[in-house]
Amino acid sequence: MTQDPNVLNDWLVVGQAGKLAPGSRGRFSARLLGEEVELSRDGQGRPRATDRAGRREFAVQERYSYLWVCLGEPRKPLFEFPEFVQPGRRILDCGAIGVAASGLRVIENFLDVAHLPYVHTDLLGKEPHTEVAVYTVEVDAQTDEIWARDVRLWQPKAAVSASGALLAKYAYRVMQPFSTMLYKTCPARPAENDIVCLFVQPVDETSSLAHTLLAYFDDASEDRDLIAFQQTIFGQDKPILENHRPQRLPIDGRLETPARCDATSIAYRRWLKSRGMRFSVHAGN
Amino acid sequence: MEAWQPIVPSHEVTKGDCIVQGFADGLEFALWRSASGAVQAWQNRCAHRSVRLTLGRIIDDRLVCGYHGWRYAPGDGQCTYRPAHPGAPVPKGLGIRTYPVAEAAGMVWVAPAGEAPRASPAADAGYALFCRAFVARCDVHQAASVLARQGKIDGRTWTGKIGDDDIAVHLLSAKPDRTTLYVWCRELAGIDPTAQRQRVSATFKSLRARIEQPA
Repeated sequence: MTQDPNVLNDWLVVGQAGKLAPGSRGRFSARLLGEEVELSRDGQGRPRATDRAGRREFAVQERYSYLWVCLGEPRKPLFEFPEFVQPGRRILDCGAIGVAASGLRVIENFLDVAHLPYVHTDLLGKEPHTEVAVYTVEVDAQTDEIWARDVRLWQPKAAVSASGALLAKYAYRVMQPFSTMLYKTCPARPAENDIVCLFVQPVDETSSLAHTLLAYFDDASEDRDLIAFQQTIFGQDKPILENHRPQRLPIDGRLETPARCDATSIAYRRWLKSRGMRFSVHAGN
Repeated sequence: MEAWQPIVPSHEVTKGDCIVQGFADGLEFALWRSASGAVQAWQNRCAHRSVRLTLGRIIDDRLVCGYHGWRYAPGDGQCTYRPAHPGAPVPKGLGIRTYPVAEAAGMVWVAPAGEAPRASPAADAGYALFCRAFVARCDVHQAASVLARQGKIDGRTWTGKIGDDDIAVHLLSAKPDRTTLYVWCRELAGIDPTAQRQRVSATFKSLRARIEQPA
């Protein structure tokens, strides 16, 4: 198993809490960092995580409708997500999609705005609206989270509830190496933001499960339409993600050449490098 | 290792929107044909985010990456346009690694070492009809010694006759226990090339069995 404290001592998503229906004897196993983890509930209904033999206990918590496991010693509490309980928001899990790629590549792709006209043509972007205007990126000194703000994009169909093209405003927040969320213009309530969360379960260094959660102000669309939209988007990203060579993310050296539009990705790689990330990172130049 | 290695038949790399994935010497290539007709052999990896270029398209004589639409010019592989910054000039030298490439005997050949070899590809121009490539489950020495029993070995090229067909085979070590055999023949009058190609391929299949398990 990896010795990288960045993943060993962090909270990592292992699946929907609903897979262990409260009070039931339901259990399931999940793969995390190349290990098998057994999830169940104890007599008091609290989640329990052990190794396969049931000998080793791991730290586990149930939060934001998911189960989070730490295979080492948790360094800090899980990130805050106050909008999860904000009145009027609809919380919808869009399921987990397996992808034969580094989880760091999956997160970086989510933060990437320049690919939208090419990979999500007619939905999240379209030629000739390809230019990426300057936006701001900073690391919050208190929380050590990355924030990218004032990302402005012309989108043909930004969401299920969008009736036509609109100029969308995005902000990205990266809470952990494998967790991020996107605040985007809410078509139904322009003063508010809809939120798309991407929580990546690193199955091992080059395979991942991508869990997507919506926190939307949308009481008109059907669940199935919202889920189908999100799965269509991820289905378009999947072949790209599975065709990076090298598969692991280079955070150092000159193997890949970014442009100004990649400011969030540049900050993400620098942030990973500053904490000495080794798991799922490409070694060498 | 031989300087020139056969990679894909020429006819597979057509002009237009066609990018072919090829492998030689453990490297992966994106092959395409520019408007001028020249074949391009490029490292199959975009300079920006390392996505395979074979996911891209050919538009206006540029290879366009499928991920962010970066455009690359034939010849030196220089990036000419990044759609996220339409007005910004592209730094010189930002581009794809290109490899020397040649066409001979209906085949595209690359030089994986990156240096242009002085000699031409090992193909004998007389054997103009490329039939197909086989993989034999044995090392290249075993393949060569079995073939040598009924023909002539010169370097890594075997020539011989099977039935009415004059055949040339180029042997390439793929892995310690795998040899790739590229099979050509001389075109015969009075037989359709497709039929002759099928005939040679069929006879060579039984020869491969003997190469893999010599008596």
